[in-house]
Amino acid sequence: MLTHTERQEALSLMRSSADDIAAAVKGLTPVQLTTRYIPTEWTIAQNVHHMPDSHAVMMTNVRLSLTEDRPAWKGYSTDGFADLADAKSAHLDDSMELFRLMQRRIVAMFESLTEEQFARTGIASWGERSVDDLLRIYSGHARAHVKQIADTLAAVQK
Amino acid sequence: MQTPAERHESLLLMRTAAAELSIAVASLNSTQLTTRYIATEWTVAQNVHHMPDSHAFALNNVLIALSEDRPNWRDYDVDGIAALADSSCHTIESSLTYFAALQNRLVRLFESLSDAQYARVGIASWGEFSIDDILRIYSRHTRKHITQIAECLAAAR
Repeated sequence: MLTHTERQEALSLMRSSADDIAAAVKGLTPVQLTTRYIPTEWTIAQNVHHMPDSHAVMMTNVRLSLTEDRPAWKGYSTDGFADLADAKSAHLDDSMELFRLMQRRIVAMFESLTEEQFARTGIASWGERSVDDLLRIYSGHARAHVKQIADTLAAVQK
Repeated sequence: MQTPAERHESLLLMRTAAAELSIAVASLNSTQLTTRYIATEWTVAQNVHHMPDSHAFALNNVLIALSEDRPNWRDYDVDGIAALADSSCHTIESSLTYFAALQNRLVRLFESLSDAQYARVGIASWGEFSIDDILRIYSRHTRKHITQIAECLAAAR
């Protein structure tokens, strides 16, 4: 389980996630957003659209764990989602706004939980994890993609 | 499958859903939002929070059906989720704005689909349904809950 301080830090990261992503893509052109500069990685636009898509799954998995005993969590094909037409679009405003508002709801959800609720678990393909684990993992998720976006832009400059 | 005209109508309903919901609950106070006026029904606030919660499940299910062959769609405990603290609280503003953004995203997703993609299916506990069915069903979903909200408020009088 996270300590109180660790949980506060995780929630703080959750609160800044949408701003972190927005700052990472500020001023980029459609070509920069949609070019696959690193053959094995997503485009920058795919990284951005991935944020609300993946956090929606996380949020629903938390809901399942709060209302069922050790439920099987939804898994999904991250690359399959990212290959869809609207997940490649250079139009990022809708996804960024959705992500920002979704994160507010997600933070409010975590803030409402008791210790017992944080300890509830679900079964992912990678093992049994607690609601607390989801908070910890997803609080660092936006920064991981901000780094991937930075790596992609660095590849352009070479 | 829906005809092009029916699909157009469904997308129109999707586009107006969030605004209709906001109007239905405009200027209600926290007592009105959180009182269970009909013993067997949800409170007004629970109806509001249910909209983005359930449409987030719909978004997940559509994306899964687009990226896997005949996937199983998962059921969930709607009443259990509606009873959670943050799904029953009186602070509905964040759910209303989140719902508007989610609907925007869903409309954009549906508009990007080919007929072949609309025909893709998933398996729910209540049968096999296409993405086209999901659009049709969820485009009517908000109005059902607006009706339920109106009935709650009528019972309060």
